[in-house]
Amino acid sequence: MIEGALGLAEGSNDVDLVIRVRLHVATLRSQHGDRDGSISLNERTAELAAASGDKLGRMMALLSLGEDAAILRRFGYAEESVLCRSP
Amino acid sequence: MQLSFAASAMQRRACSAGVLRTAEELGDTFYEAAARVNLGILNVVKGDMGHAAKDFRAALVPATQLRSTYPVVSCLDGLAAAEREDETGRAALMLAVSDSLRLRTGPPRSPAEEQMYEPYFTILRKRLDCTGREKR
Repeated sequence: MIEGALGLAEGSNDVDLVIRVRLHVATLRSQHGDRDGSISLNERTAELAAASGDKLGRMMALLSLGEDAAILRRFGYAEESVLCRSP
Repeated sequence: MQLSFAASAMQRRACSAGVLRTAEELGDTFYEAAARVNLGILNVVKGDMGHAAKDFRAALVPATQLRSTYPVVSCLDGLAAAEREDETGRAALMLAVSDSLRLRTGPPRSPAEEQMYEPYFTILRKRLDCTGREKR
């Protein structure tokens, strides 16, 4: 359903709506294990937000892109390269 | 789209640094705390504990202002891991406070947090006896 909402938002001329819906969809994709889909959407969102001068939207997208570690903390995704390191 | 860890870590660092810049510009303490915690975690993963401790200490200021437990315990865990070598007593205190806050207010460490920090915490706990005093 949310992917359908994304399609509708993308078809509108409302950039703010597109950015907000994309951020939600990216989070949901990440929660459902579609990490590449989430990253790709967040990258496009960060670009769109930068182009439209939406600092908060860009910051939200960048936070998601930058926080694989935080995603690990929230959702327990295993990333071997991060978790294999021992002190 | 799977990046090597080094490339992916660089990207994450660049993104978190970007978030930090904007958060400071907008005066947004939540994003500032989140970005600094993420930078600290990247340094822990890299093994750069000096910079990690600096990041977590800096994150603790906005995290405390948020009056929310999760950002604070994230900082305390990071500080305990980062300071375990040089400041064993203080690191143990950070860990104890984090454990206590988590027990009292709910946010447990996720399985990933456990995996990431437990090796550091195990070393720390081994250095301490059951009364919390440092072993000589």
